[in-house]
Amino acid sequence: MTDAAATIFVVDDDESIREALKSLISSVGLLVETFASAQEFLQRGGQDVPGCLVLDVRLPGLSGLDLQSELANANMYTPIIFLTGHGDIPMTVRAMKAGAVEFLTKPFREQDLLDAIQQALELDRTERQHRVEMAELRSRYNSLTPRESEVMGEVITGLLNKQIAAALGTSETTIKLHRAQVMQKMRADSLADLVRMAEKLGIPSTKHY
Amino acid sequence: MSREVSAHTGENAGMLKLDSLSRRVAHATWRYGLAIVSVAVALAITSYLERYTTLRTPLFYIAIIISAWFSGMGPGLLAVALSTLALDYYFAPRGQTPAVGDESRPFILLFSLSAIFACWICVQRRRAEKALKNARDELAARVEERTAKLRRVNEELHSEIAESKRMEEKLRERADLLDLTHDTVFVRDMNDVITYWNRGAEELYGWSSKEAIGQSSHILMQTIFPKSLEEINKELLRTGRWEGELIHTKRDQTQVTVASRWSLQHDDQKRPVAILETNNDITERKRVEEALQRHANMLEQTHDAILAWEFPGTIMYWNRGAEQLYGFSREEAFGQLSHDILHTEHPLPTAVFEEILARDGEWTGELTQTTRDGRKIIVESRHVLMREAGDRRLVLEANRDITERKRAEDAIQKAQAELAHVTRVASLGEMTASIAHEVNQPLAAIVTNANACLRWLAHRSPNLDEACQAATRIIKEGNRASEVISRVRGLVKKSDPDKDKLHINDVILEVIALARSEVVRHRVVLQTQLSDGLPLILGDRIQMQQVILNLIINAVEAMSQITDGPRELLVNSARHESNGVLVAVRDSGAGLQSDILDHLFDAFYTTKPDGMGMGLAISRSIIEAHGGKLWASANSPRGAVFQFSLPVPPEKLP
Repeated sequence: MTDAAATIFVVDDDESIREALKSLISSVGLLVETFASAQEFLQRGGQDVPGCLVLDVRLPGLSGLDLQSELANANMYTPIIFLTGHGDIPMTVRAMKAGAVEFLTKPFREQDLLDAIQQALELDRTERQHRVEMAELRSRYNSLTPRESEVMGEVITGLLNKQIAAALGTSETTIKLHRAQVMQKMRADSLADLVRMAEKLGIPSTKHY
Repeated sequence: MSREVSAHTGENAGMLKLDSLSRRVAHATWRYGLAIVSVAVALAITSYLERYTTLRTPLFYIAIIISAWFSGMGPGLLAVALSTLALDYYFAPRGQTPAVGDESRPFILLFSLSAIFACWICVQRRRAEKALKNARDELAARVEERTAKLRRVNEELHSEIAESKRMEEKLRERADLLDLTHDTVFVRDMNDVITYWNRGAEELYGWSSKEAIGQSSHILMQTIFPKSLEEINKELLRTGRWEGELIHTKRDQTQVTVASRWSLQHDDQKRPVAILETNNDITERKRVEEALQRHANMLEQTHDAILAWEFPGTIMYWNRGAEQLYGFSREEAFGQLSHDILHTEHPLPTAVFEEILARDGEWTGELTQTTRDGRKIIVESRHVLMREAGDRRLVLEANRDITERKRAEDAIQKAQAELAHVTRVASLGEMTASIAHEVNQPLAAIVTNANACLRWLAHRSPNLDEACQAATRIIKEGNRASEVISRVRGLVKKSDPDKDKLHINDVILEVIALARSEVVRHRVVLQTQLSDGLPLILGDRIQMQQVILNLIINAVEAMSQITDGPRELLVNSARHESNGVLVAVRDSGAGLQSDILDHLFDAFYTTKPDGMGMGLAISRSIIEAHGGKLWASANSPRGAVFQFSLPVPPEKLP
């Protein structure tokens, strides 16, 4: 469909469910891999491929929710669609809060699952894109000298060069030079662009009150 | 009549007189005949001797003496007269006709006189001799009589002496015997004052003979009589004896029961003078008798029916319990066939029963019998074979009515089944989530497969292969769902035990299939180790499922609080000992405290906040009803093991 490389990982201890899901998902042309337990999935390794996880909440040993937090701890952001026999509300809330794409109660409508998978794949793609951008931005930001980072922190608060020079105790000309350097290294077209980048990077703007 | 009699007697007297007269005549004839004959003989001999001698008189003297001596004075004088005549006639000088007064006359006269004298002398002499003889005879007789009397007296004296000696001996012996005997013997006079006290009495009562003699016996021994003393004495005086039981108090103040025999002694004038009292200590015997009596009473009074019968069933004994239980009196039962009047329904064929009885000597079992009023009762029966002499075989049968108990047992069993049902439903309630999941899983699979199938078919070039596989899985899942539902229905169903041949591994797997989701929910890792080739057991499938379900749920809950270790549940089956099956459920929970272990199987004992405390109690009763055992122990390295064994029925059972 949209991304031929994406793989759907199904983890369910019930073989018949695994089989059914595998059949359904492959009928829409997606790649499917099935696992009987969370451990089995973790042992596979190389999860950092485009795709999503279809996960039964109840699994022997490590449960679906446990696996979710394990993956989060390992900075793996594969979107998760939870399946449950009879989901209770606290469990659902916990799963959604932890970033689940969808929480489906068995038996589910197949369209709901397929939509959720689409959504998850979309999310995964965006997330992946976002992560790539963020990595680019961070490497740009990391290329700044400490003085330049300092100046950038002041610039994004909207201060004038003169004001910045006063705050940092240097000349306006020096600030101007640093500022040009920052704009170039960060490949920012405008101040607004730079401010957006700073927000993405989560750089706190220096406050002067 | 009287006249006739007197006439007769007169006649008799006359006859007697006549008789004596004739006898006297005969006697006289004989006496005088002797005189005549002797004189005749003398004459003849003298005539003959005349040629040789002139002496004529001597022979006549002899004849006269003989006549006088033997026949007395009369015949003597006759002989004298005859002799005189003969001498005068024959021997007077011839030619001279009787001439008296010639020269021969003095001779004749002299002869007559001397002859008379001789005759008289002879008679006198004879008379004196006779008198003397008589006197002598009389004396001899008298002496003899006297001697005999003396001898008799002497003998009497001897025998008297012997008698008295013997008596003395006997008395001494008796006294010795009285002292030897264990019986107490004493003699008291008519005022009850003791006059004799034997060694037995000393031993029994503790008073010496010296101490007792002179005392009043009833006061000394504080006699307790079976009836009034007056009555007793009356009987004693009337019959001379009395027997009965008395209670005496001994010197040491303990009481003793004695069998007492009193006999009255009289003096020569038949007046009662003393009472001989013989007492026998029967305290012990009395006690034994009472115990025996109690036993006999027990046999009589026991509520058990006890009967004895002789083959083939003829009733010989029938106690009160039997009368009460069956309603037939002893008289009605005697001689009847027990199984006829009681309509006994025996669990065994007669031949088998008799064989067992002959082999083991006894048989115990339950019988159904019918009482007189047509009530059917169930009895617990014990038969004991007693061999009598010869071929007689007697059977003692003790029957206890257990109809009520049976009914109560049935009620209990029903109640237990009810309770088992309730706990089963409760267990299932705890497992609703698990069961819902078990039903939901195949449904979810079905829906998903159906969708997949449709999608494979809806492709521009339909993938029939995939579609077929999906459809096949749908069928499989549909069946699976229905199996789950029937399993649940089976567990919820209320049913009486229904024993079947089961493979225990199947039962375990069925329960695990239901409980799996619950196990997973508590994040327990369930493993099974089921031995192949286990023998089939005989049991109720649902009850077996309940037991295993219970153990698994308990194990899962026991581990739900475990955070610092694995939650592992192992169910395994194996052979048990020589002939049985063992199922063990091991958990890795906190294990069992010893104080919990003691009450683990008690009803209503629970460690769970919302538990009923019936699960293990019911499980154990189920296993025991199947002839097996359920027990708990510690697991290694942690947790608990609950295991049960079940016997395997013999092959030949149907």
